[in-house]
Amino acid sequence: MRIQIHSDSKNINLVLPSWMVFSDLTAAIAAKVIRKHDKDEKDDGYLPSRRDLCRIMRELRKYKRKYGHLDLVDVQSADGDIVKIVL
Amino acid sequence: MEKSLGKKISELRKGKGITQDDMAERLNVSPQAVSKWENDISCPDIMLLPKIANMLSVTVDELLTDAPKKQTEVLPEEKRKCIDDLMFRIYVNSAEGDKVKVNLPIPLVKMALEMGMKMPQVSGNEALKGIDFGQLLSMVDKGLIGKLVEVESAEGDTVEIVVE
Repeated sequence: MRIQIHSDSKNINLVLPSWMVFSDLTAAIAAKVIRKHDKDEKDDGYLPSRRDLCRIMRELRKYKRKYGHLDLVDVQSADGDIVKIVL
Repeated sequence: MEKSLGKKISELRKGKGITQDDMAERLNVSPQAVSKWENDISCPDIMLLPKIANMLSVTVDELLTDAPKKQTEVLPEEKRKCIDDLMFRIYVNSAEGDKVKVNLPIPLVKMALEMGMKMPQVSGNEALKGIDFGQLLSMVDKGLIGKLVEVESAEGDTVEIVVE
C-alpha cells in the first residue's frame, strides 16, 4: 500500500507492506483506537467493530491480489497539493 | 494527477480479465509492446487506439482523458459483468478547484452498508449524505452502469458517481 503526499514544501511517499496494513491485528488496533477517540462524539451511532474491520481487511486483501495497485483515493487541491492512496 | 494512458490501459485490461498476451494477440503486436505501453515506456500507435478502446469497452476519449464514463446504459443479462467486478467511482469537484476521486469496489460498499456504515464515513465526503447507496446497488444489480448520479450544489460543487 502506498500513501503519497505531494505539496510545495514536502513530498512524502509511504510504502507500507500490505500484509501488515491489512491484517487482523491492525484491524483490532484500529477498532480500539476508533473507540477510544470516539468516546466524546456519540451522535453518529455507528462504530466499526473489530470483526467488521477484519472483514474489510479480508476484502481489501482480496482486491490487492485481484487488481494490484488500485488507486483508492486521489485528492488534488486547487493549490496543487496531491494526496494519493494506492492499494 | 492525471492517470497516464498506460496506467488506464493496464487497469481496464485487468478489470476485464484480459492478459497482456491476449491483448497483444488481438492487436497483432508483441506482448512486450503491451508491457511497454502499460509501463509508460512507449505509446500505442494512433491507429490502434480505436481497437484498444473497443476491446476495453471505453471510448478513445475516455482512454485519453481522465473524464469519467459519461453514458448510462442498462446492459442485457448476457452482457452483464458480475457485480463483484464492478467499481463505484466517485468524483467530487469543488467550486474552489479541489478534485477528489474515490474508487470503491462494489462488494466493499455492500459490506460497509450491511455493517451500517454511511457512505460519507466510507468516502469521507459529506456531499454524499443524501444519496441512497442501497438503491444504487439494486440498480447496478439490474444491469445499470455508467454515470448514475450527478449532483451540483448551490455552491458550485459537483459530485458524480460512475459505475464501471
